[in-house]
Amino acid sequence: MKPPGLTRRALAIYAAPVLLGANAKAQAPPVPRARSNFQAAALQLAAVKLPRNIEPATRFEA
Amino acid sequence: MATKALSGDVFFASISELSTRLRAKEFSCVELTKAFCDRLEKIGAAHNALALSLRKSAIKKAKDVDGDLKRERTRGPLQGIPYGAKDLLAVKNQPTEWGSRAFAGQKFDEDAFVIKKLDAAGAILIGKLAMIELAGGLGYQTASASSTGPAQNPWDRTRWAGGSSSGPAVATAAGLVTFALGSETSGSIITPSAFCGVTGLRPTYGLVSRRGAMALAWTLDKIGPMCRSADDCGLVLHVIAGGDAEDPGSAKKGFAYVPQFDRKITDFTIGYAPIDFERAAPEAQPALQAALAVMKASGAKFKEVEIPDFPYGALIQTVIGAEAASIFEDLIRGDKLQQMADPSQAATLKAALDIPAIDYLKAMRIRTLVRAAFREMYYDIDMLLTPSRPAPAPRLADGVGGAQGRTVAGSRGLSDIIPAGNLAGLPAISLPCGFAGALPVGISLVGRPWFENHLIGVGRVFQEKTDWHKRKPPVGEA
Repeated sequence: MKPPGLTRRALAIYAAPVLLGANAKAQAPPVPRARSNFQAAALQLAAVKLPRNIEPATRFEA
Repeated sequence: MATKALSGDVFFASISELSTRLRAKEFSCVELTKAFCDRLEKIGAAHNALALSLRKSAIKKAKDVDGDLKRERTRGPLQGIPYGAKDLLAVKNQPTEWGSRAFAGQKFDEDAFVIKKLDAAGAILIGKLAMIELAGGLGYQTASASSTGPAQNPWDRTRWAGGSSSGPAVATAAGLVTFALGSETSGSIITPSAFCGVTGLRPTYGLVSRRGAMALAWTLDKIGPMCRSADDCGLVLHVIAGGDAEDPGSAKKGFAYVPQFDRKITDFTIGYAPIDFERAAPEAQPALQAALAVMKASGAKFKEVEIPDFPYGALIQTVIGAEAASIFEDLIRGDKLQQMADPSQAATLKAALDIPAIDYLKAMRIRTLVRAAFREMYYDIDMLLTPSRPAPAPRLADGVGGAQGRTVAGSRGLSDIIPAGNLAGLPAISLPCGFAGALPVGISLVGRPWFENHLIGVGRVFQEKTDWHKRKPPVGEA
């Protein structure tokens, strides 16, 4: 229920920081989940087959 | 005289227009600076786009510029032009907080390299601009992941401004500065530029020194201009680019903005993928298709292409994660991590400490192949054309992932061009190209390394044929 006299638009603008802050805390992935995201990325990288002579990039423009 | 001259169009004038009017003494640099400071402090703060006003030092500098102009000591088109800088750039003895309460009150004893360059050119720094905390490379979930709160889009304040260069995009779009400096590790210039309807340029990796800028990922970070037009991007890049022995990533190359030597657009071959435009959100499609038609009608040759096949998301996640964990190890192991506004970024930083060296090295070895694949791709084309984002700015309440396109089966297209272009160090420019309802939509050109002049030149041709970059958001007066 919105307070009387406050439009939905104003509520969206001014209440957003509070609501979003609370929302972020509720949705926060714990560290193990973040770790598993990195592990999932590593699996995708592992699927790329590389010739042994490919060295890590040391220049970062194509 | 001054009050009348400083209303309305002055705040949305291009660098060249403003420079001409300053030299013609329509108004003084002090008057101009005060008027912009008023807008930035009122409208910028209301949109959560302002980190710190620098009114006092700006007016002092403006007085010096007025003295120089009186004596006809001219230093180029940026002399006397008010600008803002993302709060990851150090300004001597002023708080530089990187958008995070964990770094509240942090100060440095030297200006960032780019701030020094702009100071020498006579530009007036009027404020530090808001950003997603730590430039947002660790998977932030909401627009409120910033010590200044969620940056509101000047076209619709219930929408997000984009990140991580949120403040620079808002301030430029709303006429609170004439141009701004942003930074990009993966999407942080292109995304907010598209969402707010400004022209943003991500330079080639190594063209602009990062000395005095917060590092998020050494091998990806870039600083670039966010402006009102492609021409303005060229003028700013001309000043901020250049070698720096104290930035290990510096390519020690310069950049000269030379529009008088532009190649004709009919000389260019532009790569694109029709499916990118089909995948855009339905409300963005008319603007994007119309922009494609304008580009095609300009006389450039077009060729259908597909992005080289690599796991770009996994690559960028691993590289940023490993480098950021090393950079912020003290923060992660200390007691200030809990002060971060977005707990998911804090959790990702902690987890990133455990990325094995073998994974980081694998990512960097694949990156060698990515570079080679893009070099090969650019044998046949001069630049790529693709929607900057598949959808307009999301609602603040929907979180940062709320701007998605449609799923359409088919080729890869160029849908991962933001992480791919950053991994390959490619320059890009985002151009406003229309609206989806009240919200701006942008289109991007992605070029060969060191060929920023080509992107700016084609961008200028597009902006001669359209006026999307001249539209003004409904932010009112200060």
